Amino acid sequence: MTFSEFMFGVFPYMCIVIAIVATTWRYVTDKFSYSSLSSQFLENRNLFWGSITWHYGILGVLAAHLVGFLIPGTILWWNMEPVRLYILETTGFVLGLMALVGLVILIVRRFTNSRLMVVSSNMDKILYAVLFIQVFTGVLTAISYRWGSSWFAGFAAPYLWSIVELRPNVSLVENLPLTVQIHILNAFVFILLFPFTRLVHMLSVPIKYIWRPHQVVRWNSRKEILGPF
Amino acid sequence: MISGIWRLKALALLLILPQIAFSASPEAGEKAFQKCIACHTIGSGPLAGPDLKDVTTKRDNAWLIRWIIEPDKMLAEGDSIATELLKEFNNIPMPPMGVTEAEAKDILAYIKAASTSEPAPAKPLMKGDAEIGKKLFLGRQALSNGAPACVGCHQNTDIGGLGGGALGVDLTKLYSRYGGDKGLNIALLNPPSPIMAGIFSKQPISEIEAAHFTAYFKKTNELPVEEVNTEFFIKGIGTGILGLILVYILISLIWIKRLKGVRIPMVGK
Repeated sequence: MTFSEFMFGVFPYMCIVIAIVATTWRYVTDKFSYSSLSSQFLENRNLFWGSITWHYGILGVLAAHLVGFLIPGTILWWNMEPVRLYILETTGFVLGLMALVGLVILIVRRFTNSRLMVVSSNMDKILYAVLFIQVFTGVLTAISYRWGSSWFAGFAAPYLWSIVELRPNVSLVENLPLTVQIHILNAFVFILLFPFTRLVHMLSVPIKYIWRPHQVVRWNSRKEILGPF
Repeated sequence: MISGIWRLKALALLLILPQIAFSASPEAGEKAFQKCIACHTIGSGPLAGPDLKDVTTKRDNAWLIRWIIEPDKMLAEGDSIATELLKEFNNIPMPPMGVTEAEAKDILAYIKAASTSEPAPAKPLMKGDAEIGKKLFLGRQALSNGAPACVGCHQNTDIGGLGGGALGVDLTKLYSRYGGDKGLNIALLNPPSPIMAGIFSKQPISEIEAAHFTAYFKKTNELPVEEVNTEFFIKGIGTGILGLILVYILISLIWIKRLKGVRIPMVGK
């Protein structure tokens, strides 16, 4: 077995299996740890400028990857006209930049605020490193090896499907540029880290908030606020 | 005395057996040679690479085996024959095709056998339409094998706009790189790059599509190669950065009241 065969044909399964088992285990044994461990009460101003762009950016980018994986033919159909290809790529690039800039703000915020350093674990630091590598190599790929939205359908989608179908086709990815290979392998590290970090909050997002009726909060007896002390 | 003869026979057998068991097979070599046909013929003249007829008698066997397995390393080491060949063939380096040592020996056995026979007469090339070739390149007309259009990975000076992709090489001068109609046509049907082989080895493009591409690349061959795609770096990346700034302006407008409800009345800042 060559190094490539191990990294692209075996390592992904190791990450996925560990992630599934550990996620289930954590849910069964420590259900209430499924949280983002928000630090909003400790620091909110920088969080706003980082968290909003990070979350909207990464959700958009992940959604685009998912569409490319599930219906690659549709992406190729859309890209049949170069102008449409450029629109899709530029939109993806903006989302990638949003994620990158947001993440950098969040990293700087966490490592420069003494109150946040107290509540940061080693796993948080590892997770930030993995996320940064992932987003940075993604943006670098978009610039250096354009147009990924098209070639994703040729290389990445069939490779990912070959993983799902339990017959990994390493030949599709083993000759891609190093930046792209790091992006793919780091994605599996991201999956591996899922149950061991605060990433689990992706499973406890209060999605119901979107459609539940709004709540009106009223004061029973409102007293004059005296202002800052 | 008799036992002495038998010992000799047994020894001879032991020496010959490995040769029989591990001798190179021209049949297996013919199959493995499919990785080479994009650039080489045996007796039908040079394409992107040299005609390999009688190459086994011209060059040292060990050199040939290593050259087939790791041409990139030999070029990097500055091997004199390899460097000379590179210069002779339009500076197109021979790519490593993932050939094992056993396969390399089989290939050489096949070349040796095929060198003694007359090459099969070449099929006449189909005539293509450059306009259809351009449509196929851009993706306006889908490839019959469902693969992504060339523009996803390749740039060429003709297409304008933000240009083509940068995963693969610039294809503007592909026609002359592969030595004209015949060489390019064969290369398109059997892509020599290991990355492309990942997609196209199982689902090659059709012969008529290869003819359309050949006609189109003959046309683009007249254009100069743009070293850097300035359009993309200025307009593409510029638009991305502008988009990011607009997003931040939008965010600050949407959440403009975020501190006015509680924080400023309570904390005063």
